[in-house]
Amino acid sequence: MLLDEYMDTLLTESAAHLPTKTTLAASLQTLLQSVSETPTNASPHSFSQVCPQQSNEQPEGVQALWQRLPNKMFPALLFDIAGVSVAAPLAELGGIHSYVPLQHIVGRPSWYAGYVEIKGQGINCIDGAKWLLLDTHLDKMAGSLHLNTTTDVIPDISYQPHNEYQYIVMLHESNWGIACHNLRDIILIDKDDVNWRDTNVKRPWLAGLIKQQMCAMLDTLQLTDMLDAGLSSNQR
Amino acid sequence: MTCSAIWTVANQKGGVGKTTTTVTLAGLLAKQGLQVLLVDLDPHASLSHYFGLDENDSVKGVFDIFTCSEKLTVDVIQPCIYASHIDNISVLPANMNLATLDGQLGQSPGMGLALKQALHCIKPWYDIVLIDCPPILGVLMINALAASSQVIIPVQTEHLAIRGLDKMMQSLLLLEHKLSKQFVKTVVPTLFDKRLRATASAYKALHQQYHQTLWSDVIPIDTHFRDASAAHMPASHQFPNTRGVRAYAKLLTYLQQHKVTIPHVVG
Repeated sequence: MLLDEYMDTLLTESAAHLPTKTTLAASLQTLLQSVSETPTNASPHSFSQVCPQQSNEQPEGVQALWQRLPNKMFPALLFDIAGVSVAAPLAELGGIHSYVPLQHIVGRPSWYAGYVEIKGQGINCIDGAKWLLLDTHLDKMAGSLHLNTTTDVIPDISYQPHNEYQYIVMLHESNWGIACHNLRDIILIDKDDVNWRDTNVKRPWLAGLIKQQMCAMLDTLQLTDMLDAGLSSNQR
Repeated sequence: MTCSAIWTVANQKGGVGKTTTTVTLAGLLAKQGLQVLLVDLDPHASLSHYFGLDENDSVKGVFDIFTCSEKLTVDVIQPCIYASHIDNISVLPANMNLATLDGQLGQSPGMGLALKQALHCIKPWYDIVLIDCPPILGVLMINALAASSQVIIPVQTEHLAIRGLDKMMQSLLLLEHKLSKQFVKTVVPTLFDKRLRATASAYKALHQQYHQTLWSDVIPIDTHFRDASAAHMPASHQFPNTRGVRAYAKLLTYLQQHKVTIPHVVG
């Protein structure tokens, strides 16, 4: 959006009560829908609604991140997961919460850290290390064990980082949050400073690599699509 | 106390001394006996940290005001404001969550006027409100500017920072047009190191380009600011007789003479 139009929208006098009933109504409705689908005392039956067990469903029709970002320069949040820095555009994040004890639900994939309600919002939290870094761990393991990471049974990662998580970064307006260890910085990134990846390849959640920081840029939309489909990071 | 003024400390470039300027001016104003409210709009929350309000979900703050679904009233805003350990200074803190505000509500009609409306509710409590802005032109900075009458623009005396100032001035011009009001703008040269030739040359360039809005003095580099920050104290209270604080005292005198609404203590 052009700066001129952006300012016009923000400074519309007639709409000047902040979260107006109208503007919040839509997001609240979405939120309430997702919360109502997310059980506080979740049972194995209802989980499939928010996180269907592994399917081969592929996210379709999602525009690449670099195409979705309207401006050449965009702010992004840098955060650390198990010592690895990742980034996500601020415009595609739904909030940040301090990490709190989660309700663990039996029968979920190992990367599903648990469920929690914060300020009335139901949050499905994924274990950042287990989900995002699964590939890295698996590639190493596959190398040593001669496994095919796509078809072979995936061994569970024994690493238990959740005791050290500090924050939950919310993805879009979804009820998915990703647990992380540290919020490092907010930086302004030029699209040209990112090595963008083709989304139609393995790991569609990995939008690219920021050259200067040498860290992964998340495609949060692809990521939430995969989570909705119950896929782990190395599946498509 | 008769009226309140709202000053915004802003620059689209980071590391130019925005928070130091905000805290030191607040300290000096508080010493004058004025009731000061500091509003931290920077998701880094340096100002909040300065006053011991570290990021924590249990600490209410400016984010709760922006995302409040009810009509803004004193009852809603009051729990978000904290008395600091410095007499006469209260703080409306920030947290990292603010960084996501552009994504959540950044294109909602009227969101740029939220802070103005909130401050209007609590105006009678304070003589002056100082807003510390993030270094990004987005919903937060626009809120700060829409609420303010006076803009203080700290600029590091170096050439790259002056380039950033051009962008800031363009944004202010556009906002003045949109809001149909004119800001009282003061460009404040900061981190001035008289030993460096580059600093002198940058100051000269500043003077040539912005002589109408440029404050005629400078804020020198002074390590006492860093020490005061480590002690969580305004330099005005921790090191009152240092050259940096004296420079800010001069700046305050200038600002109080050049503002639209002049707060003063009665009786």
